[in-house]
Amino acid sequence: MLTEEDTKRGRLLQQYVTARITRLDRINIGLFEYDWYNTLYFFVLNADEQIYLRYGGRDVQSATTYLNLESLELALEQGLRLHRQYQEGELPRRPTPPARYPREIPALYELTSKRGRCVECHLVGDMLNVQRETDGTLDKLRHLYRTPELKTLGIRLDVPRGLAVAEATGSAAQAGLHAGDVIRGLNGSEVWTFGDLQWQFGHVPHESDRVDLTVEREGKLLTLSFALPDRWWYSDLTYRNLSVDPRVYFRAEPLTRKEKTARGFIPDGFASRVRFVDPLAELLASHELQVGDVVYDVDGQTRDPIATTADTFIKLRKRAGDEVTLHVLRGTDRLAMPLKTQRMGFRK
Amino acid sequence: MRASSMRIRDVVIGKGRRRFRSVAWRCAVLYAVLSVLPLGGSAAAKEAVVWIESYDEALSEARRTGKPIFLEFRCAP
Repeated sequence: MLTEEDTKRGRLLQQYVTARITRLDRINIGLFEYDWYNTLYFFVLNADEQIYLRYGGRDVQSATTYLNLESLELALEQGLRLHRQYQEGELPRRPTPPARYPREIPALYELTSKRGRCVECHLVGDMLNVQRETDGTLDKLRHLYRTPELKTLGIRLDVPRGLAVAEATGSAAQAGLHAGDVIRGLNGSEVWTFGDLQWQFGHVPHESDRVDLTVEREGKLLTLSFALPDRWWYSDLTYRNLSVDPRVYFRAEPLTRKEKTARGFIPDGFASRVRFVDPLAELLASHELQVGDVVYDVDGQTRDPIATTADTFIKLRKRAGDEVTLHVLRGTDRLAMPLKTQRMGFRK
Repeated sequence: MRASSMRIRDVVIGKGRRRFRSVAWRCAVLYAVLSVLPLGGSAAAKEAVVWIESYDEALSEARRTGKPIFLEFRCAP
């Protein structure tokens, strides 16, 4: 990243030791854990490895929705303030999380370091899930849906101003959040950036039905209690679609209730229209789905409490290597079709 | 049978290559944009900030200078 030394950003960065990591082989991923499907992610920390704040985060639409140069400058300024407080003893030293390195995860080591391949960020996410599945600790709902969308609370941020609220609707409006409020904490933890907020929000247990946000309004701190909507943690998995087994080699979008009813499907089922078929489906003889097909039944199941599409249903409820029978509407024909799922391989 | 399989394979691999080139090209453009974005001036502007590519070196430098660390994780294209 080039920076002119006479810009505000340049002057701020010159007060830091700046470092860029593009491979994680020797990185303590226990300390620097984040959602591995961010394209860019930043930490501000000190030589004692105490992290002051995070900068980054994303939504399902884009990896850059919350990346903004003005908010980056705010984060850099705040990082310097926190560092001064730490040096003056005003900021307590926090315990360091247990260290963990990529080589300690067998599935990741086998795929990368052992073969001389680079340990890329997304591979950590991929292989952690593979390892969890092997170890019997994979909880797909928890490990896949780990970055909830702030918008589900009805919060739209004024992104250049960091955590300043641009608009409050839904739960946020009901909780009393106003445009112009600045979010300062979540469930008692301080947050300075969107990255901090999303990180803390991602740690709220799925079964929670309320969350407390501390906001700054006219120089005063207020705590607002938000009612969490049903399935508040649910998000579109498209950008991490390749990150979890089984591979199904198609993606589908849900039919509307009207479309389901018109075709005789149950309104709350996962009947969904195929919108993408990976060429590997044919190469690997996985299935013969075509774009436009409607999958309305998988192994006799037509609804799921979580999945709204057939591909998500298979990903959440089946294991790699499972063979399932799809019931498909193609034009006016109803077909029964086998689908063989696969395990992921190495991907760049 | 073999000809058919070959045709399918060629088609699939051909699509894969085109897709790979497309993705690689997009990644290259994204990398270029992200690299230049904060510049805010001409390409001749000098690089005032030195980016260390070793975390251990960054820690040593932070201990030596007393500065905090701004650490970027970037999935290189």
